[in-house]
Amino acid sequence: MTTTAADASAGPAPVLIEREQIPLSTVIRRMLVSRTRFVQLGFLLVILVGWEIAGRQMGTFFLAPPSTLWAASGEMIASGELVSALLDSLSSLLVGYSIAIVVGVCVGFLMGWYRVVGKVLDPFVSAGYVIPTAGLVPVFIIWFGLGFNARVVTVFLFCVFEILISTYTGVKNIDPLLINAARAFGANRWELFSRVASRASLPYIFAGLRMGASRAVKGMIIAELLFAVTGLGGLIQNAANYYRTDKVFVVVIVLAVIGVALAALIQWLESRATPWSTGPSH
Amino acid sequence: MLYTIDHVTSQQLTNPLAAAGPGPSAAGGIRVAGLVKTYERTTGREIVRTHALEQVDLHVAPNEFVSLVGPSGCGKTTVLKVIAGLLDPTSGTVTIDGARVTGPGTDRGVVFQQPALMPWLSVIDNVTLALRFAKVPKRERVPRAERYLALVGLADFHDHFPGELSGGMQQRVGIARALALEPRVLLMDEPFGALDAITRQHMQTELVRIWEDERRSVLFVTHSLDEALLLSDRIVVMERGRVAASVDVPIDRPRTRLGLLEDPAARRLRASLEEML
Ligand SMILES: Nc1ncnc2c1ncn2[C@@H]1O[C@H](COP(=O)(O)OP(=O)(O)OP(=O)(O)O)[C@@H](O)[C@H]1O
Ligand SMILES: [Mg+2]
Repeated sequence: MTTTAADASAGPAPVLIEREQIPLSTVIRRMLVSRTRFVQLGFLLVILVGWEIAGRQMGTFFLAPPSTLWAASGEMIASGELVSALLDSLSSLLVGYSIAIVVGVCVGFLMGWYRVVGKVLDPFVSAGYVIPTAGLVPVFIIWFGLGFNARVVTVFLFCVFEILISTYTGVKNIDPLLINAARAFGANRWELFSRVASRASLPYIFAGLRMGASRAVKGMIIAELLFAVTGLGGLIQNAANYYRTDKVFVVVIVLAVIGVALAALIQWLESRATPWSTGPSH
Repeated sequence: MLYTIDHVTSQQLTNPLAAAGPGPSAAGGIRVAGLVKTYERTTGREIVRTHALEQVDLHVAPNEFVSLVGPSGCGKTTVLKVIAGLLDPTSGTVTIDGARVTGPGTDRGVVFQQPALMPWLSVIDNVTLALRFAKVPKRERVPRAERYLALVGLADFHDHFPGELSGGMQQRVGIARALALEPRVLLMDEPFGALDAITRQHMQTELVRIWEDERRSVLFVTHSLDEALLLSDRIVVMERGRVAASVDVPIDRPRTRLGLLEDPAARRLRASLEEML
């Protein structure tokens, strides 16, 4: 129907457009089985084999080979320590990271949207960004004690500036042409924010979320090592105290998986929220 | 009546205010009076002032089609932006049907020199978003957007993103967006600049058809004299931030490219305009 309308006024379209529905099974298969996946698996295999060889030569005491990790992880799961540490860590990570997202995006947006706010806060943000968070730990202990709050604050401070600065940059870099176009068509201030600015700055905001996520994981571990010996960081420290490198590596792998999962989650959200910038390029 | 361009231009050149058309009593259409725009930028100890518009008086009568021509950088886009309400003038006033312009409004549809489409929205969503901003009732938005997209030949591309379109196609989305607003005043900044000759001709025909169907005032910036002659009732020539001349185009409609080539009056008009630029 639409085709005839176009034909009537402008002749045939200058290019042939084909539309084809992909079955869900194909979509899922493509996601799981792809060349990238094979290469990634191969790469992982190379790492594991190299690690195994090195571990067997140096001995479990120095470098536990991957083959010993099954037993270690079984032991840690059976005793319940791994799961409770994981939950402990994840809760402080997610709470701190979420607060950082809310604060970072809001403040970053205000700074980018209202020029005055940006100019006034800019040096303070720069100052906060360069202050080494880990160096403030003694003060945190005085303020927040050694518990959950202190860890949340550390995670927050570790990642909030990445998110804030990235959002600020994104809002500042919104194409003025788009704002002008929206204004010309009668958009009010709220619509400029909700329909234009908040969408136009999304690629930058997601870049901030990605950088912030890895910083948040690091902040979580540091907090667990420096405050109370707890969570996954605590598990590492305890295992190291007993010279159990196999247990240390189990925790390290769990941390890596958390990092990869978090990055994948953000990437998935990003591809949903900004289909135009990651659109089909084949 | 024999048309003597020499007489018109010399008179207009010496008295640019006469270019503003009928006296100030005629309140309708677009009226630009004493427009001055100076861009200012401070770097260190230096202030740089660009006098983009030194003095511009301009009148587009209701339902009149006026083309604005002039060398690159002479201030055409600046005039258009001020009329659109997107840029505050240093001094001077703009009125539309007698009402003073103080900001953007949906009585004016703007086609920008660059397409200015939202990259995160599909073609049709770009058009319906403008209609939403303009407070067009929800039920009307999609059918109206589809109608104008078909008009510019992009019905098949309604679910594509701007990044997936060619430059000329993007420009046509921008044109559909302005037309869909069905405004009383159309402000178009080189809207057909990025189009191939055939598509351009098609768009010119459509624009004239729309303008004749639902009369509205059009201010149309172009670099092409042929285009200006084909489309407009009057051609305003700008030079260094001023109106250098305003020339009526007394050629019967419907006009065709070929007809313009053969019409001696049109050729004389073209020659003298060319000399001015
Ligand atoms: N944002 C700006 N800041 C400073 N100077 C500007 C700005 N925009 C335009 N100018 C100056 O104003 C003058 C007029 O610009 P304008 O865009 O109106 O020209 P134009 O006639 O539309 O040119 P073109 O045909 O190339 O589009 C230019 O010479 C330019 O130097
Ligand atoms: Mg221009």
